[in-house]
Amino acid sequence: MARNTGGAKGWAVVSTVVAAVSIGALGILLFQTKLDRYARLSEFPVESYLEGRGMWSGDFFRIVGKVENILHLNEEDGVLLVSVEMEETGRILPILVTPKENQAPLSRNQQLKMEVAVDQKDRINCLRYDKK
Amino acid sequence: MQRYKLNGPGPISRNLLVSVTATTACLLGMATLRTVSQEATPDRSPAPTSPSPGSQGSDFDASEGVDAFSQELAVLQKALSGNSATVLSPLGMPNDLNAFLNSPPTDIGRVTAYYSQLMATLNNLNPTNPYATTGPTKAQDIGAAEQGLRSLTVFGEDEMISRILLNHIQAVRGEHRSDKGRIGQIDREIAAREVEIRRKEWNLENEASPNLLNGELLGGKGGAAQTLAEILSLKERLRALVQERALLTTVRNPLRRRAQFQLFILELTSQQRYIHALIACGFYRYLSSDTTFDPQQLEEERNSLEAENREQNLDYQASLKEIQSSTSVIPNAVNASPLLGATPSDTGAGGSGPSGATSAASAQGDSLPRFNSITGLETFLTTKIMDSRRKRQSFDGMISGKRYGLAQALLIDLHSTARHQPELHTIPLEARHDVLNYGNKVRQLSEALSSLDYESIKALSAEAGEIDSMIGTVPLKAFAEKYPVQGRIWARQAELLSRSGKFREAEEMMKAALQVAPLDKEVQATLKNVQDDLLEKREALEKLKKIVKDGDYREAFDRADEFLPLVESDGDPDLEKDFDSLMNREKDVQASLEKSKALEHRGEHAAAWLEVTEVHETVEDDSRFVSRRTELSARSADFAKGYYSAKDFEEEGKDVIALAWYLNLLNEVPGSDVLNTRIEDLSRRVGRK
Repeated sequence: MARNTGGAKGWAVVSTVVAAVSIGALGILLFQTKLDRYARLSEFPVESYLEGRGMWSGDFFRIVGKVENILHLNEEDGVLLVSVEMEETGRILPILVTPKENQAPLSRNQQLKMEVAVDQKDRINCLRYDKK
Repeated sequence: MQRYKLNGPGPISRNLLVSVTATTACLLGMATLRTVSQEATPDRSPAPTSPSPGSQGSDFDASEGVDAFSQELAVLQKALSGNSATVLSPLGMPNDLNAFLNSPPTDIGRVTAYYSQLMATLNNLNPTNPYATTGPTKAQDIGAAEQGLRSLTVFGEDEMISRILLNHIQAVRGEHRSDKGRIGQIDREIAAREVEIRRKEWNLENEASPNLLNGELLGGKGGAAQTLAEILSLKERLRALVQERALLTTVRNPLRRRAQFQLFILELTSQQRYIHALIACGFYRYLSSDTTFDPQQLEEERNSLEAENREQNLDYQASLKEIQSSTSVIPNAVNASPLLGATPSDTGAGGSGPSGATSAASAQGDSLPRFNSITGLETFLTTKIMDSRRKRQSFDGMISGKRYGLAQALLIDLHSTARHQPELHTIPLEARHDVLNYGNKVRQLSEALSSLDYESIKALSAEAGEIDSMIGTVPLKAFAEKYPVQGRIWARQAELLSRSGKFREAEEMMKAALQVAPLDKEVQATLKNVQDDLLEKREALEKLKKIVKDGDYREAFDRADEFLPLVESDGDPDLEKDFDSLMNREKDVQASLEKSKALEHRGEHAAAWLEVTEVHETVEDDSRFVSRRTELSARSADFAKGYYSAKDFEEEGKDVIALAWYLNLLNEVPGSDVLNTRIEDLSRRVGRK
């Protein structure tokens, strides 16, 4: 009888630990997911864009890559046109970035994650970005 | 800048020695030729792209030499024209003077006999006349003089003057005899002469018409002029007949007959028949004691006779004037003859009064004074006769001294001031021929000078110099020696300039050579070569203009050695600019092709492809570029696809997508100017929106 009680306890401890770990992991996962807002965005369809297919849909996309160059600065509204080399495809895209007060300034070779949208003039507008 | 000026010949006075001139010209030519040869050696090195400073304007300038030549020629022509009146025109002498100089020997003999008889008559009437040979002791013999006058009527040269004079004498004497027979004879003669005048006028009209076979006149060169002179001679005789008839039919009023006699004497004076006039004065003085002129009565008689003559001659004058106006071929020299085209009153034939005489003399450039009496008139006539004699003596001296130029001038003067005097008409045949030959020789020389026939100038100068030492042939010979050499030098220079591509200068030099030596065989042969060169140049220039118009930069570059001198010599700034543009275009094409090969060699296929693709639209279809693009397309297919995509999007106005493409292409060809330029432009446009 005693051997059975000890075995049961062991199983209970293991189960508890496993459950706790699982719950913890799940919690952590849920927390992380809640923190990374770019993760829910679709990858920017660069090939479609380059082929000139209509992209204006109101959808938002994610672009992850490196700032290759600052192509132009509009001195009136401070909008930057930057070229960004995409991390996954190596393609380079021109992206318009409107500076915001709570965002760090852009610089060359900076690794970024961006949320972008394409307007009816095929311009890729960066809605927000964060350092990768 | 070197200038190649031909040293023009100096004034004629400095070039009198033929040998010195010729030697100088040769040395000058050799020196100039050497200089031009050195300069004009064709440059085989690549032609410069910009015209040399020396190619602009006319450095090879023969204008000074040509100016000097023209001045020298003008001086010689002026000097020659001063030597003979025939130089100015082949008909420089009056037509009847030419006929006078060409008179046959038999005519001269008859004329001499006529004037001997005339002077004998005068001698009988007035022993103290200028021709008197018997001395002042001889007595006046009216009967012999009248007989002498009758014997003069048989001479044709007298032109009925003596007969009319006899009629006047009889009329003033008041001799009653029947004039019926004579009047009838005059009527018949008038009718015959009228027919003859009409026939000659018809001939004149036809002689002045062109010959359809050879384009000349039917009557030949001098035919019309000769016929016109004959018509005028006939008209003079007709006028005399009419005048005589008028005299015979005039009422027998002694006063009127004396006035008519006086008018006749004045008419003889105006016609320069000084001996006849003196004879008439002698008879008048013998017949009438009243030797004064009554101007009023003379004017009345003159008007009366003039009216009668006008009535008789009106038709002939009108028709003659009509012919003259329609026949412009009649030489001016003939028209200038005092007899031609003159109305009876102009020549004083019908108007024998003082005013008529004065007008007639004015037409001959020598006005008569107003005479108040027979004595005054006789003094005038004697002075005129003495003048004529003095001129004749001078003429004879000039002929014996072989100064034919001066003799010719004096002969013309004598002909205009003493037309019917023995001093003129008794000039010997040999002297006439000498003057004529001299005039012809000088005229030929002048013609040779005008046509620049240097060989003829030399030959004729020698001949004319032998005839008359005063003519001064040394400058002519020097001129004829110098300028053929000068012409050959300039022709040779034209050839050298043409070969060295200086076509404009060659043309100028060629014109100069032709101007000074148009008939020189050597000049002509050399200039033919130059002309051939210039013809080739013109064809090449046409080809060049077509190439420039078509924008064929490849052929322009290939034939640059040939075309560059043409462009420089043509002097057209637009052509020069367009040609330079073509040359630069071809150079750019060649540079792109070479750069593309170098990039390919380094393995930069995309850059190599881009180098032969991104070219100016005027050369993008160049077969060399097309071929090169085809060669590289296999190894740079993706780049090419991206490049064309970018271009297409840019054309569609999709600047952002085009910019994306260019950014990706630049990644493959870093540092490409073409791509960077496009990126910069598009970035500016996109960033501004």
